[in-house]
Amino acid sequence: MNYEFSTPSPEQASAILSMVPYRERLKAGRMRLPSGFMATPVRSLHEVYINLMMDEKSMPAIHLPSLSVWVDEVVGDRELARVIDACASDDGNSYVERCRKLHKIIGMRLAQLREIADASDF
Amino acid sequence: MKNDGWAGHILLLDLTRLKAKAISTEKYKRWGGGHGLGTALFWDYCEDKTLTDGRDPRNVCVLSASPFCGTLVPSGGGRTEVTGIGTGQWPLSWYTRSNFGGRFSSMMKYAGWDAIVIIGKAEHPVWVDIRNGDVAFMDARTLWGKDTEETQQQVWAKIGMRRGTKSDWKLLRSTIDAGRTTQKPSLLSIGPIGENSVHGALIHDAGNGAGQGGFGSVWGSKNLKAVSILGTGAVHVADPAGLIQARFNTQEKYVDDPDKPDLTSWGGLLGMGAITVAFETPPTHKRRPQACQSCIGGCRTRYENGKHNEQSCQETAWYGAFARRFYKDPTDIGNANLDAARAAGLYGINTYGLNSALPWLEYLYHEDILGPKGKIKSELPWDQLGRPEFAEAFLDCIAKRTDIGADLADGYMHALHRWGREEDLESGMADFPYWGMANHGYDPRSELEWGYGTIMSDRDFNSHDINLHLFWLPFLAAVKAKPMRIEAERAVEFVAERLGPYAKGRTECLDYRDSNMYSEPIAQLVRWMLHYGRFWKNSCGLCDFKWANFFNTNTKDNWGATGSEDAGEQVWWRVVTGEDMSFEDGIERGRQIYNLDNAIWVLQGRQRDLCKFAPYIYKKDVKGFNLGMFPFFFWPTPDENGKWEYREIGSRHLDEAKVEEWKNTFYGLEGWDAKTGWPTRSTLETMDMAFVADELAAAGKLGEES
Repeated sequence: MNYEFSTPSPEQASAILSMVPYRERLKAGRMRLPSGFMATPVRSLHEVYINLMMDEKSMPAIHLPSLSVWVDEVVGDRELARVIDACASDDGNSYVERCRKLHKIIGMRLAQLREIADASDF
Repeated sequence: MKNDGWAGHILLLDLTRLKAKAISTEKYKRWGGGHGLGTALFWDYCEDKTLTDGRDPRNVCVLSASPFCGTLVPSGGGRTEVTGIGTGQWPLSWYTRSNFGGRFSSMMKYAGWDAIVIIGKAEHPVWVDIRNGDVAFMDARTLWGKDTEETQQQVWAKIGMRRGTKSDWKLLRSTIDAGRTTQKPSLLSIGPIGENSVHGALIHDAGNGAGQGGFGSVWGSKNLKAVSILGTGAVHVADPAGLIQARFNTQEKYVDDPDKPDLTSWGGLLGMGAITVAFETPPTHKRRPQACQSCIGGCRTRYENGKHNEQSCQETAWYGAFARRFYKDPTDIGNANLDAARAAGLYGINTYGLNSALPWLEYLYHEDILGPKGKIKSELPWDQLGRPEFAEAFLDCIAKRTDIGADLADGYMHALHRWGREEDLESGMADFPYWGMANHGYDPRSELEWGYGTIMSDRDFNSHDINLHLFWLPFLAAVKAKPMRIEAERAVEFVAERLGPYAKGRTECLDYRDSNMYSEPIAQLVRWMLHYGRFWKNSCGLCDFKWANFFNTNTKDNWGATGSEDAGEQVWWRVVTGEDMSFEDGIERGRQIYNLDNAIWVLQGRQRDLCKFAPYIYKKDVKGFNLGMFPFFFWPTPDENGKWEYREIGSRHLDEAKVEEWKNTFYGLEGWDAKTGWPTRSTLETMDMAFVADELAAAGKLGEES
């Protein structure tokens, strides 16, 4: 998997990487066997990336269509939002597979943005 | 009556007089052990059942074993039930319960005790040293303020036990040859939070804790720092060969190969073999399972590097999601989470409430309501929520009642009302759906049996019987786009077949559609779960992570162990005690125990209007942190043609008036007065509980006959 994103300016990259105000957070959380759902709102692309990780006992609890809208309207990365939207509506993949795929895509986007913005310490 | 399965005596600890006394267990055997035994003892020994704060010295706290404890009953030999009036609930703190695993209850039995009843309040901090029949009250002033680990180490040192796992034969007492053992005492202690706050837990070893109920604070209020117990006896069982055979049946038929835990077999946790119940841990296979006494599951963990051994379950559940914000690497996230878990264990806090409290407090911080600039002053570094240092600072402020810890000390709902934040219960930003307690993770608007079961009892329901079989199994299939190994229609048939004596075979009890939310079948399901849980789990000590086991794809016919002839609940009762009781007889005993619980709640002040959800649960389109953002709350529902499927039922609310109608149905089925929720004399007398009716009548709280 290798997505080609266009190159934003350093200012745009920094803006996309920045943490959004709490009031503009995305509702999200983790589903954990057997304790259930726990809310942990996310406020940046980095937090989305970390949230999308699978582990042995928990998985992301995130409404993928809402993620696409949030990345577009709040984070301000329309290009990434389109990719997320396409992935979220891919009925050929399970929810878990879609989260894994998005984790990789957003990871790639983060790496590119950080390189541009020289924001390795995010 | 024979004593098979029983130690035969109960230890009464009078902290006010520093006296110990043995009571015969005989009178209490009808209540089965565990919760039933503890409740009957509370009934007899609590002189004022109108108390509504567990920190009152008149409160009675009971630690109870069951006949299964100390035997080879799988997933039933090691749990200890704790009962008494709790702390921190809203509007009242009810008579409530908690339990924990490990080896404490087994050691109680080996020492000759079925239960320990703790009454009164010591003049100064004490700990209790129990070695078989010898009981000594020890000065704990030098232990007061110590964390739970140091407390355990110091007590072991005082008893002459060496640090670590190596051990020599030791005299049980130094002055007389009263027995010898290689075992360490089993020890239960509180930490600094239990000494000073409402959020205290009882901690045993490292990873076993009784959190709900806040019993650590009950002990703190009694000046009781720790109880150490060392026994050298044994538990006699009625049919040792039958016990071994039933254990083999369980291992061979109902459990996976522990080397190949097969989540996709979807047999419930009983079918999952060794799988750890610790969240957001470092991704390593260099660990091995560790189990409670006689369990075949081994849901706890020991790591090769020795770091955070045994940190598990709830204490690993409250912080990891925040830690994710600050770290890139799963190992760092896991270590940060386990650092917070270890801090929680050392302070001895009940972390369950933090599941809802931390998101709510963070919300208040970002709204500039809480913090240096807010009306609620706090100097804590809230922008560092997620780092281990914040966890340590936050727990410290609760323990020392500094910063907002002073306001939180009586409970999160007490703080909410003190701060005038009632609007957060309207919006759902304070996600405490019932009794001022945190949302467990299963929203009561979707998961009906969890919500109703909670408001019809005393605490967060935390019974995964239906949840594992009918939510988690289809959920796991759906999110992985796997075919259902057992289709919805067959799954509900399996479960319904075990719903006797109330609803055997009635699949409509498992219909989670909107149109069935307030129905008599759902009331029957809730009754069954309350009564099943009160006896088979809370009184016998069968672990919630293993029982009930309704269906199981490891078996040829897919039947689970619950109620089975070869390894069902009643089989264990028969081989241990020699009493030939049926599975449904056990549920009837659970009904009696539940009625005894309810009688205490009524004496405390319960009436039906108090049994309700927080306002946001009844509001349409109130989402708070949870509702509607995760489209996988799958539950079985039939369509108009009666075909069952798993369907998403999140994003709904409960209608308050219809919930009140549902309560009428529930009270009617229980034989209680629907106007008050109080039991009637005729109902109590059919259960040979006239003594309860008499006390309720004397208090003017007996329900009217219909």
